[in-house]
Amino acid sequence: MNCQQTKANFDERLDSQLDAARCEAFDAHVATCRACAAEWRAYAGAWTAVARQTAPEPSVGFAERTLRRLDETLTEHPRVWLAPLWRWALAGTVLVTLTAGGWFGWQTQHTHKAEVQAEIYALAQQDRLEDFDVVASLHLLNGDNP
Amino acid sequence: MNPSDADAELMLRVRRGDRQAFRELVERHQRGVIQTIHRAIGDAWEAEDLAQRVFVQVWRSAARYEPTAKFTTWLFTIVHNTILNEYRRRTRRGAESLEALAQPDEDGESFGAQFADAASPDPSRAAVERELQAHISAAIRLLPDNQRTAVVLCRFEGFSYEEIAKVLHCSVPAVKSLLHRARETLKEQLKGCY
Repeated sequence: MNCQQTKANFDERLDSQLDAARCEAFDAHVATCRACAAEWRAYAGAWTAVARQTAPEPSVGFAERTLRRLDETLTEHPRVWLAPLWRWALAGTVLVTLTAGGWFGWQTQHTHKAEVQAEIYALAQQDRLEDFDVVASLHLLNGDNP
Repeated sequence: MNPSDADAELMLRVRRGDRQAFRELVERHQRGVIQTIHRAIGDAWEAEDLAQRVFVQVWRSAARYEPTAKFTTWLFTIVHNTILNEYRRRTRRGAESLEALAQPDEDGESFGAQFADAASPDPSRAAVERELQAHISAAIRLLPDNQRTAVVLCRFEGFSYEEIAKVLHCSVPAVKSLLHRARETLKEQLKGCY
């Protein structure tokens, strides 16, 4: 293992991710290369120093206080409306409303269109519209470009 | 039953509204959660306050927990997001700069300053140890968020690269890169500490 390979393996060596053969090669190189040894000492030394950091233990009664806080939170914001059953009911109501609204809208539009169409034909039969007017009117009704 | 299975079983009970199961989960994981938050923000009281919020969030999100996922991975994802939200809140309020956050508490005897050598009979040694602790804490707190989380989870919680990747929503190579950059920074920051 050369210097470049050794340095590329610093993290794996620290995290015990190297297999036995590569570990041995790593250690052998560090034992013989002063530059890599110094670099490794600094890299590993900082990681060892990090582990020295202490942190406070949980104070007495933390679990109890957490449960109380949970109770307070649920009392303030019961969020009943977010309970699964209510969510499904709400979603279902929205879906039904949209579907019904869409259907009625389509029905209304369709009926209106049929009525206008019938009127055009009625006028045509009474010879009150020229043929090309009938065609143009029907095109407009259908939204086509005449 | 291994710890991970026990956690999954407790969470399934929490999903059904079992408060006793929730209490057990809190007691099992309070130390890791509080200490992880403390390493990020530095104040013991605030760390406990945020830890409580984490556990309340665990209760509220219980319906979204999938037993196929390791509980600690899911839990520490909530921890990581809570810390990020706290940083953003402080930045928005302009409360403190990150450097100020990284300074040690002035009162060495405040709650939470229960360090190993604080009760040492040698006051000068205790002072040196406190200074060292402050220096290490500041170096960790000043790391970018994802690097800091990767370092804390790797060094103190024993998370694997894969577990850290799930918490941070990134790939394993990205985790290795985060750790490498963090270690390079720490190597410079902690000269004289090793």
